[in-house]
Amino acid sequence: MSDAGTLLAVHDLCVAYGRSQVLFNVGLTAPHRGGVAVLGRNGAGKTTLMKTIIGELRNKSGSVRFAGREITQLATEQRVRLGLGYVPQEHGVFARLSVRDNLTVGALGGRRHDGIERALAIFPKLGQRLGQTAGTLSGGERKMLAIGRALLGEPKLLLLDEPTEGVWVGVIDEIADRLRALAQEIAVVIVEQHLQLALSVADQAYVLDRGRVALVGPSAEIRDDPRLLQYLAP
Amino acid sequence: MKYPPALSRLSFSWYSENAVATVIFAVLALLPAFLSGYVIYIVPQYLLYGVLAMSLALLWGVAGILSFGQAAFFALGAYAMGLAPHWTSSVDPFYLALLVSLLIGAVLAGVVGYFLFSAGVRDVYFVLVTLALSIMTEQITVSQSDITGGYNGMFIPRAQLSFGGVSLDLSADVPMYYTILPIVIGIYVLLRLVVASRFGKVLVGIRENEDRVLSLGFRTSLYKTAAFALSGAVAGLAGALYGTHASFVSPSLAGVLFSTQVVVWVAIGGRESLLGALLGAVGVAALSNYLTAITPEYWQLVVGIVFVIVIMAFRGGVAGALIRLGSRPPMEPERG
Repeated sequence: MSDAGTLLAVHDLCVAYGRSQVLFNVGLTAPHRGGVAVLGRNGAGKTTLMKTIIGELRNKSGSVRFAGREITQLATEQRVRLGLGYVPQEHGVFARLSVRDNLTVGALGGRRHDGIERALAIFPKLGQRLGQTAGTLSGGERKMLAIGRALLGEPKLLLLDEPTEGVWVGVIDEIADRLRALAQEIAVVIVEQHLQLALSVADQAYVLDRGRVALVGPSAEIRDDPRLLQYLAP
Repeated sequence: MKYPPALSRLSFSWYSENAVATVIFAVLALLPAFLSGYVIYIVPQYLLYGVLAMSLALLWGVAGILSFGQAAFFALGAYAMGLAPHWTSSVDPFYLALLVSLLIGAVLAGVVGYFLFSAGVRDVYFVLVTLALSIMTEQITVSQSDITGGYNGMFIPRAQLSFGGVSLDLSADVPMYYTILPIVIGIYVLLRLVVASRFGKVLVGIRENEDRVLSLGFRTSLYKTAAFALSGAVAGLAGALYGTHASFVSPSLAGVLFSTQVVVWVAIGGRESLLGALLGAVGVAALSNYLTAITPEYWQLVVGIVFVIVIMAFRGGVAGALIRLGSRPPMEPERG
């Protein structure tokens, strides 16, 4: 992949919690459009990688470049203003605010006046829940709200950490459809335990094993790689 | 697209609080027609405590930032009222004191808040710094006795208001009552509008999960600084009015004990409701005053027991319990 076609470029990223190093020289790239999956068993460092890219965690060494700009030293809100969006694994919504107020706060960070309508167009189910406090939503609706709210900032790249965790199986397909459509418009980096979903959204996949990139390649090749199950097995 | 009215618990409490506030302020406006003497003298003082409590509720209940420094801004406002006549002869010192008290509260809180929040100071560390702010203010008012009167405090004559050619003597209790009440109502309405604004929603988001607000692109330190500055300005203004009402200010007004009392008022009244904080201050101050008269040895013990019972029974204070009681039960999340 050429630099001109690369939106996000992570190089030799090392991250530690105190003395305990979690990521070792991790590299990852994402193009301007399309999906990138980050796979791995629990504790492989996937969430740490997401949090470091968005700026919630600081790296020991290595670099993160976004849209050709070095962003390693930037604060989270500066990275978001440059075009990064982030949907965390847990606590993605403001549980005691209504759905409308959650979206209003998200829209304040964006530049479009029709932000909330746009989120409702992507997830129409939220339109029926506008007055409801977010803490009373189902798991799937909370994820939809968190994704919809992140999109109000008009990100060029969306980082999604386990978007189907705690979601009823009947709603997973609905979220997957939206993510596949989204990946046609912007870059999507998705961390996901649901292997089939992740590989259906992503063109490129990275497999992390104990903080190191163990496999990387097109999703179709990764899916058929006999080593994949070895790296994902608990 | 027009959205249907919100049906959430928060919006329910919004409308019900407006209705209760309207009734309470109407009763307060009529009070001097039916009562006189000590009640009409002391109610404005309780209401000013209520404004101080609302300044903390904005910070603690809305933005999730607990401050033990509100008494410092309150005391500085009161001292500004006492010192203003020495600063000017060409401008009405009452208005000058109000302006200075607003500015001193806003600037001091803004500067302290900017450096603390930009450095990532949160939670208990912020509480400790604001506690230190109160202690420092108390010590400065003691040490600068040439200006402040030191431990002896400062006598402040009640203000004479002038609008154009008309003047109003606030030395009588009824004119003072009707001067302070509209200001209290105005501050309450202003703070309600702030909470309902987009700025207020971001503050609630910060209280709920600051990292999520950061990840939406907001520089939360600036929002927290603005909230602290506004809270300091309101506390300073309340202090200036208190100074002219009580006709006296002493260093204890900035001290740790008074700072703690403010937190107790808000915790009992309900930190997530401005009206709850206001009524908490009025109620606890009135109870304390009554108990001081009938049991001067044990009144603090009784107030302490009330505090413990309310906090154990209703963690959101009395207002929080009433809001939950008046709300529909939370909906069970559906599958999916």
